[in-house]
Amino acid sequence: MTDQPRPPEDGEDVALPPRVAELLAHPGTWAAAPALTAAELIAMAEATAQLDSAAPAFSAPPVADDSAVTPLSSEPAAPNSSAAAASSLGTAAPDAPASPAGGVVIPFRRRRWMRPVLAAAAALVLVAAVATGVLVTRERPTATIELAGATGAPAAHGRIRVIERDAGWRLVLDVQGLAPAGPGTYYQGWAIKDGEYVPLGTFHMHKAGQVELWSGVPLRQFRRIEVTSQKVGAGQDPGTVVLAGGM
Amino acid sequence: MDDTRLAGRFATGDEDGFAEVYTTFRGPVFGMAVTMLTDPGLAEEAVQQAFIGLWRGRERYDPARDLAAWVFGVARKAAIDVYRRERRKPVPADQTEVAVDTLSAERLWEAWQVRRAVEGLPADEAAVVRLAHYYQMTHSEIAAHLGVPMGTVKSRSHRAHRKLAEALGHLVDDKPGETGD
Repeated sequence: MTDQPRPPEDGEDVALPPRVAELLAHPGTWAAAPALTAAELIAMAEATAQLDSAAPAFSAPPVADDSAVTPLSSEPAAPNSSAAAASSLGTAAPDAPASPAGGVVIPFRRRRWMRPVLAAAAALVLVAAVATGVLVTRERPTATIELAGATGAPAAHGRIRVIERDAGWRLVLDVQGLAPAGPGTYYQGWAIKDGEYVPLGTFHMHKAGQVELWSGVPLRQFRRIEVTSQKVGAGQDPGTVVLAGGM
Repeated sequence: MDDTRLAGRFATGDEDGFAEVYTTFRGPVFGMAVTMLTDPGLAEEAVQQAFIGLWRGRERYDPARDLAAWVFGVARKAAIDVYRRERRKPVPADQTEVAVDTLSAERLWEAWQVRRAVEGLPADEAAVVRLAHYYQMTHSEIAAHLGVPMGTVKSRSHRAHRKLAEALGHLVDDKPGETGD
């Protein structure tokens, strides 16, 4: 009755404390980390910083609205204030109706100045997305499948996120420790059940990153996912297994 | 794994230093986020938010501070932010804390350390540990899965467990229940 490990016998594994053993069995210890690169993250950070710098146009109340909460009896705005500047641009409404509190209410239809700001912000978002090629995705996988390295790549591991689409299922594979396919070889994904192999797509891993596979059949009908190493021109029989995982 | 040198690199504020920090800590950050959020997709968002925050706040980092603890703090906050956003509606702060802190900061820190420890293992030893603990395979099953002799599996497993016990020895000395579970 102790949590302290006892000395191991010859050839026996050193005992680990229960809490460590518990964490070694937890997905968080092994789940493949996102395939984003540091450069992509920096690009995202810079893009969001640009959006944040434009944010006051959205978060700050329109300058004309400042007067709506400012009693008419208050001190006049300084000549170089934003309200004065807005007035000089014609955004303030000299004939605006008085609010019940004595302020000035600007009808929403007069906030047309927001249109170009919104359009510019939308364009900025689009440019940021295109420039980085990466956006924080809100896609929710319908399932995730953990893959362990097998004979052909024992140190590899990965995770597949299954995302339902109109025409089938998009399979996003994050893989770590899998070497680029050698000359004349490639990798292929398979869904397997009772000796039936349904191909899910091929890739070469010449650059580290996410792999996109595709399934036109519901994977819940299958028992296992495998990634094999294939030789070009050697036919469609599954080759050496490099990654495998159960449903 | 020299966090002091890494802290100095990060403090320079350049992209290379950030890239080293990202390479070193993205696994533990992701693992901690998965442990807290359970959803890999949400955890991935937390990783992005955490490292974007680290990049944008790199000038505030004091290299005299423990870099791992700094990154952990930023990452945990990012994961909590994602968690709260997913709640989609405001909830009393204490209720949120209870829900998030089902896994206390101490417990998440342990998860972080275990993840770092396994990432410090050679790939072949880590594979054996993963198959044994996560997939609950026996040594003979691992040998068959990897296509290597049983003796190879045993020796890799022995080396790996010895290293893990050394790296996580301080957890061995903790008494259960001190983690705020």
